[in-house]
Amino acid sequence: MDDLISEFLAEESKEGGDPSQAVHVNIDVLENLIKTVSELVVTRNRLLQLSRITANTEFTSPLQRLNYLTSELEEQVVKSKMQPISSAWLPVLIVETENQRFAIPQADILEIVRTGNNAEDIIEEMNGQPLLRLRGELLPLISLAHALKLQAGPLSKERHFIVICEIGCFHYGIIVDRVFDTEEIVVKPVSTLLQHIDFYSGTTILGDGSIIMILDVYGFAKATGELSPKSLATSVTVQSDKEEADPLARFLVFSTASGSPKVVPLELVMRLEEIDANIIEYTVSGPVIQYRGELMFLTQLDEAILLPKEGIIQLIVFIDHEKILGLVVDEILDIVEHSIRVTSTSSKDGFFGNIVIEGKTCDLVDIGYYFKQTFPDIREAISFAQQQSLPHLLFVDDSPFFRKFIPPALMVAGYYVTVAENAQEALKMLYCNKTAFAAVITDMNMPGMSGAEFAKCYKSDKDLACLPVIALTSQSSEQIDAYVDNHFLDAYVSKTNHDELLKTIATILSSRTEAVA
Amino acid sequence: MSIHTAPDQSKEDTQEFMTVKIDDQLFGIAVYYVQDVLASQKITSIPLAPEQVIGSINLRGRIVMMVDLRTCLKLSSLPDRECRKSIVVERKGDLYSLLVDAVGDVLTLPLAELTDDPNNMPPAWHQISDGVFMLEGQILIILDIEKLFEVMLQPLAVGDPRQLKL
Repeated sequence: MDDLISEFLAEESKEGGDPSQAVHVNIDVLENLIKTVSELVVTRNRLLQLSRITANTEFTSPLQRLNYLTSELEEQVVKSKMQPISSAWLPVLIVETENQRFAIPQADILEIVRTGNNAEDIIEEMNGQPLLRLRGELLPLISLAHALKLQAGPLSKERHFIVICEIGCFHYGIIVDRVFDTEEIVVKPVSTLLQHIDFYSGTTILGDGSIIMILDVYGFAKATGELSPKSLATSVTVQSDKEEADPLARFLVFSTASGSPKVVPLELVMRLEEIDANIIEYTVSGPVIQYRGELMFLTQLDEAILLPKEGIIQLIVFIDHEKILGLVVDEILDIVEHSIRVTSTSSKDGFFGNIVIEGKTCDLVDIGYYFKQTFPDIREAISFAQQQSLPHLLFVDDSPFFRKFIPPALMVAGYYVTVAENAQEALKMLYCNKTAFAAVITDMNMPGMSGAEFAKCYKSDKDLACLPVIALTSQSSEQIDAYVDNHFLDAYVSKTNHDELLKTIATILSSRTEAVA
Repeated sequence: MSIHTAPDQSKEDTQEFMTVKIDDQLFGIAVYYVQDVLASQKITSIPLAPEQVIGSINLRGRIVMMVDLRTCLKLSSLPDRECRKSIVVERKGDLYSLLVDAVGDVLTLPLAELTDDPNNMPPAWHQISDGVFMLEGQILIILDIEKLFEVMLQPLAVGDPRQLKL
């Protein structure tokens, strides 16, 4: 693990910084740095809170300076790509039940409803299970106090707040006693001693120094009994690493104004948003909204249809190259787990082809196309200015889906990628220029020559013997272990696990650089 | 008070132990596990946590799980949990604070004198004991921190889905 070296640009703020200024830093050092910065931020928050109580002491001025420096440091850390490695700043809502406070991630919350004591909405019961009528929808509720065994017996008729949560297209409410502010927190992992509890996704220290548990909305959804284990498994997208061998991918199914349902790989989706149509601004480069201090450009699958001028608009938000793209859709229908077998390929721009899901033919959307349409400068910036200095990868896969799915992710991560459809084509490219590539990424199961045969074949050439190869597979890890031992593969990664693939490439490339040096 | 001693720094044939009292019995913890000794702390309770876990504390910005050694030893817990002392140990990057009745001296003891547990030691104690020292006038039971966590985590790892009934 110690040789796991991460490469990052020391100062992202210097736009167009020379890549030769990149430094190698052990990942443990980074982890510690981030942890320390997080703790500094927390301490700063605490000091600020104390200083608000006692106005104008001799501490005020140095505190302001500390505040400024901490913010700047925080910003730098967030800007450099170090932040996602270990901890993340997360906006949460603080709620209270039975005099104990908990945090719910804002991203999971749709709205908050007040009930009881003359409020319009009331909690109803069916067979002892609490329910809420909300705009024609009957939402299952779960009492936080009961779920956490802080209270037994019937629900009190007093005033309550209901936090409406959303998982995919499933909505439910968590009943709490009080709702406080939102706070930006640094998520810390749950202790090993508590990991068996479904209801917690993390823990954190608030500005006032108190410890608070972060609630896991999936755990509560499961406890409402409304989600079948199967549908929940498909909703929980990021939780399990053990599914590396899973040949399935998760798709978000949605509808647009016309035509059959559309699907997009869930992995590419940043989040789902609902916005009011009247916040859309129409610029010469297209419709935009102001989104978290940045601009989100809106696009539609069918440009001929005008955006509505009023009402609520559903968006699927994608982020690529720090550009934010909002895809306007009619309705989010479902999240499904499905094999990545494209039934027919499409010649229409913006679509990969069709997938049949639960008896319905769906169009698989090529979101990369819409990025290129909306931000014409994205790819060029990579392919011309920087391609010479970027590590060059050869990607071999017979599946058109994966040829369109994986290379864009590699490009985003800062690699230059050449794509081959089969082993023969790849061999031709390799022999053509034996020093062109830094690594090969190949599918294992290909018609004609398999990935393992391909690796063996090119490694028999002494000039190419050191060129590392990463195998992509949908097989179980035991089977692959045998491959790595017996064949000429340097590593293997599940096809659907992008993060693992990027990590593996980084490790292999850095160990190679060291070996050369 | 803060003690940091690497295991290889002590002479090979002796080892330092921090002594603690629980229910009038003397226990020892190897000092290289011990990060800190804490006086009374504000403990935040955690609903649904295992019974040994009293809650969490904020130790200079780090979250530390407070574990009641009395519960681990199958003794009845005392009501004044917030006022008692605890020993902070680190395991696999996580910090835990073990609540005890009282904290004693650090003793340097020759390992050759460590003897096996007597047969009539309670099973819950034997599970987490590394042996005993026969000191003058009393017996010191050495707590094996690794075994302690194994015993605590074992029932949790089996996968306790805790199906909820409302």
